[in-house]
Amino acid sequence: MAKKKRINKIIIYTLATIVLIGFVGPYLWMLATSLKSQGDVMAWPPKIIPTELHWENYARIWQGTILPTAFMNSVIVATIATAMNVFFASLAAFAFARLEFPGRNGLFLGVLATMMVPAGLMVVPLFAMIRNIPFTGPSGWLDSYAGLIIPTAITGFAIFLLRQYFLSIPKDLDDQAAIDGCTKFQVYWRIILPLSKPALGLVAIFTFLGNWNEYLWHLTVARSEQMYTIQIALARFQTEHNIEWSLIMAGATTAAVPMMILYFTLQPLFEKGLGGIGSGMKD
Amino acid sequence: MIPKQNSSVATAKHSPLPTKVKKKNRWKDYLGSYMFVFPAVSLLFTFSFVPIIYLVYLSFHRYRLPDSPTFIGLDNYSRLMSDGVFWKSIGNTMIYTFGSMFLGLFAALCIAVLLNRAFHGRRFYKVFYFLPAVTSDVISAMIFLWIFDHNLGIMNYFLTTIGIAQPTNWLLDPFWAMVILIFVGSWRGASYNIPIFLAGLEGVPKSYYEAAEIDGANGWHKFWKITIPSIMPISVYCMVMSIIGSFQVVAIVDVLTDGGPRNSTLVAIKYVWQQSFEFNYVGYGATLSLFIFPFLFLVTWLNLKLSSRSE
Repeated sequence: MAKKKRINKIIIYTLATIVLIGFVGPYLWMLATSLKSQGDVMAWPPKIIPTELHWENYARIWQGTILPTAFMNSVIVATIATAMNVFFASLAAFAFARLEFPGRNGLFLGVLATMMVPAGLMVVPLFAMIRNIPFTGPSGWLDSYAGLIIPTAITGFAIFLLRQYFLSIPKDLDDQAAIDGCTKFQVYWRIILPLSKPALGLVAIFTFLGNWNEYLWHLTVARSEQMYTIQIALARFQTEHNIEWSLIMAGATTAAVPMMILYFTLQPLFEKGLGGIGSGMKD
Repeated sequence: MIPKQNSSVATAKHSPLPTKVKKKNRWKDYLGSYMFVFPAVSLLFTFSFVPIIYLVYLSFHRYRLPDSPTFIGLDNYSRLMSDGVFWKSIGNTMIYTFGSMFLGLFAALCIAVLLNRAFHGRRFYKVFYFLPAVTSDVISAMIFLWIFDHNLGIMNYFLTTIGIAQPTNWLLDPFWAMVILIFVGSWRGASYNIPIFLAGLEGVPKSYYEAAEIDGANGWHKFWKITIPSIMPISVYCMVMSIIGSFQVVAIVDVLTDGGPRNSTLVAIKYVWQQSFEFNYVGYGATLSLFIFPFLFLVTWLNLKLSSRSE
């Protein structure tokens, strides 16, 4: 019996480790390649571990390529979009959860309906819209931060999720605050927001992730290299340098690291988010 | 008098202030509420619903930049009907979508079942299994482009060491190029879905299994009769989400194959993008989008319906 258990354990650990190699191995291979000399990259049989570490690969992509600008653009775009979504969506969610006004349910249904609009198919008409925005010159918001950020900043999902969370906070708190002379905005700002940090964090993380990893919309809006975001720049960089694999992998590593840091430091929040997505619809 | 007023504040939440005199105040009150909603909702609606109307409008027009749209009736639609490449792209998208959905969900389920067993360090494994889900399509695709590289890729090295003399040039072969796209798509998909399946598995009451054991059920029985039915709602959710996501795949294709070889991996959204922005047929691109729209809308609607029913 004990022996059988032991064999069981061995099988479990073996399988779990094979899966681990399947999911993490490619990233280690990316990292290893990014530190190789051109000679190591061309070596056959492939060298798993670089003979010596060439950190200057990172210096090379950081100077004289489009990647640093694109990296900064992504930081700007993702940060502003996250701030906008957290602030405006929570304001709206507050009203939907805790205030009474005519048309509230209709508007909220509209918000839910926006979640059914497939983003990939909206690229063409959105492009035509932002190109023809009045008073913004011949190409509108094309090739601008406004174009990259504003059309996709607010998500129906954020409003939906925050409303659900706000509904779970006891309503007596609002009434109490109202008696104390708080305005609605003060109730929102001083009572609801501080109590909703986990939900706000969740929205912030997933908005940032979504914008950092966005490809199609940024590809459509960013026309000049100056406005490329990191994913677009990487895809271009790869076609331009398709022999220098160490540089390409250094670029990929640089773009992957911010999300990985965020993920590992805020891991519990990520988990909660997925649980919320998976089962939150259920309960 | 005073106690009465107090109680009205405490109980009548919806209209804390008694009628008549406060009628004017009520509208001021509503105005305040609308100001909370206005920024988010106006932006959201402008960039979600207006494009749909615009899509319909553009689909009846020839729109080639920098000219303005000119009305051409149903020309775009008749062009669509006889556009073999478009239909091929739809077919490719279906193959990719269903391939990556089945492979990705099957892998995710198997791994979640494995993780659901009690063993030391399962948390550690779980954390790392999610890594592909937080990195972008572009980065994932770039890594696999390097792994499957014909000349220097580590995959071909492995294959030669196990005796396959001349592995194919993966991404230049119409069949294998699609297989690799599906593989990369399901790799990310599986990573994303593992925690969701795991949450589902953990939610199955232990008492079900105990009861079954008393009735003499074996492991396989328990899996089919208890586990699978219990996680059905979550599986359906993952399935629908996977269809919605995979149907709009672009980034993986752009990096790995750029639609080739010979359009064998040209997917629908990529074709729409090509027509609109590479060949400058924006109106035709709108027509194509509009044509695909009902299908994706249906799937998403089904998703919302299913998830609200299980409430």
